Amino acid sequence: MRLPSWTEITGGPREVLETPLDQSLLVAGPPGSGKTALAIRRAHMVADTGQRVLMITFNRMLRRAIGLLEGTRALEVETMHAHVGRDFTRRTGALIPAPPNRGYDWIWGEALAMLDGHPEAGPSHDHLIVDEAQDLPSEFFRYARLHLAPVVSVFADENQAITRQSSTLQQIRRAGALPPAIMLVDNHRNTPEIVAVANHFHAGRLPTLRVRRPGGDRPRLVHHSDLGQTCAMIARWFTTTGGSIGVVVERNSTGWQLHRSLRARVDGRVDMYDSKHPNEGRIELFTPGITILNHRSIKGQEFDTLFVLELEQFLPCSAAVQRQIMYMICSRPRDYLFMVSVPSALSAAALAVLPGPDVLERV
Amino acid sequence: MGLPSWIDTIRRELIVAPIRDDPRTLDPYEDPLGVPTRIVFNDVLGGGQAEFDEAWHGPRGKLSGADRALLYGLLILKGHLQELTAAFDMLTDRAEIWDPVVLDLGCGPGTGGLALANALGRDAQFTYVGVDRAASMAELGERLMQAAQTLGWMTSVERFWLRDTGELNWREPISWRPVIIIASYLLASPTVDARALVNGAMEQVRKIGRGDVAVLYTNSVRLEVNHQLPRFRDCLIEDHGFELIDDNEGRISTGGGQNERRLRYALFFRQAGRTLED
Repeated sequence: MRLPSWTEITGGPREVLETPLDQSLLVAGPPGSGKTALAIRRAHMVADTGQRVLMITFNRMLRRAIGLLEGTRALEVETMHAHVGRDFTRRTGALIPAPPNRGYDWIWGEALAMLDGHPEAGPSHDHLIVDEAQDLPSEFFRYARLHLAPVVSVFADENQAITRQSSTLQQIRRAGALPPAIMLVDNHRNTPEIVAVANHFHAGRLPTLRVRRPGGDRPRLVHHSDLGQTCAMIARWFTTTGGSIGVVVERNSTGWQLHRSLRARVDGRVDMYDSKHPNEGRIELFTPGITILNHRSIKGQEFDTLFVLELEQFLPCSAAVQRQIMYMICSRPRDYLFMVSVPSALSAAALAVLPGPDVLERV
Repeated sequence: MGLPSWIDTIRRELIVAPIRDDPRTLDPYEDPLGVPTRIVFNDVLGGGQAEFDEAWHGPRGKLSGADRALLYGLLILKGHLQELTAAFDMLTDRAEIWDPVVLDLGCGPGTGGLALANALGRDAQFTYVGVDRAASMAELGERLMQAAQTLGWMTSVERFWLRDTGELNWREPISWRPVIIIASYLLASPTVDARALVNGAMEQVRKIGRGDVAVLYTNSVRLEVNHQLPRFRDCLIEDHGFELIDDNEGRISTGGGQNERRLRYALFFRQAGRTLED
């Protein structure tokens, strides 16, 4: 009797790596399952064959992270809006149609129709690789397949979608004419205690994270009466524990205030990312230090420790999209998660939707 | 390959010794529990397919359901254990199969659970669901697994014993846990309908989650006992999206020298998430 081993027959990462480079691909998996790493790996494999490969991300910070991860190799990485906006103008000589004052809410139907009149340009790349695809509108995948590249590799997790324009796996698959999704099922990033908090906010059709790391510390909910206390706590944590620390704020004013105070207290890197003054190119995400950013920019990132402030923006999760945001945020930290209510305590309604003290310790 | 020593130990303690020490037995391999071996195999055990819960009335007295399960353990279990330990050793091959759910269809005394535990190691964590219409088999299986625990094996294995797959009352949230389905010698039974069996098992798999699913089929090489394999295979592949990994006849070594067993085996696999578009 001769049987293959489980590793030989189960797919996941292996199936992704073994899919021929001239075939389109759809990969789905929970946060921390290695989608971004596999996307970069595939991009390199394609680039090594001498083909023109383009990586597309949802936000600028993920673009920066990928830029740092791929090191000195010159992969072309762009956000969807930057690339498509330019590509459309190059092909048609016009700006991509958008309603007044809704800069990024493009009218895709009209845009695609306008392109029908300009077939001569042809695809700009041989292979397109898209990360965090669930946050992009499904029409983009149609655009991509028709105009950007004949081969498209898409990495997505429909449970993490945080925008109104987001797409389900089925929509992506249909619009991009993609094969059935290859699933990555294991989370290698977070401790089981952090996964328990993230899973509390899980919704959607895919099962919750399947954690593959040993246990660690229980995440905590902390109350501070002013931002100074929070700043002191983060500074102390950086001094004693170190590593990469992420701080999620919703108001840029809070972020800048924190940034100022932390810089005064901390001997090390403190950066604030503000999409109004894009400075991501200077943020050394992977060197120890503190990075302050909002929930839209934290997408795709990971930190050793995460502090989540201004929780009242997402709680009490009255809309499904708020649950998804909480799920996405809570699955960012590898080892430690702190939720901070400052300066006012959380409302009873907000507290009621948080996990119990057995999962989220109250301090 | 003989039996792994811990399995051999519990089999000796819980099956061979009680038969040997039973007053009806003169020689455990000649007339176990007072019935000549030839008659045991064909009549008491029905070649492994008997109604094990019913009492059997023979020329030298009555055998209870528990007696019949013990005799199965003496004469049939060992070979099946050898096959499944060999199969799982290859399938696991030091790779991690992380926290799987095992559905052992027609499990006898927990045969597939013991074999998988051996392959995954002393501390392996999994959920074992043994399905057998004979309660006497499940009782023997539970005693074997409890004995295994006293030896430090199967201490992290959650166990359920059911008469029918439909009885599974799965309470965990839907997950990515891999599922291993074992159909070992089950389709030799004339009362089993291959399609109903597959559909019933898949209904439970849907409740467990969307993870990887492997189905291992083993049987004797005799043509007539494999007559349902084509229906079993078609149902898995066409109705449930499995791919066939192997369908073959093979041999396993059962000890020193020339000793070997021949068997028919098949392995099917369905990757995680393949049912997403249901």
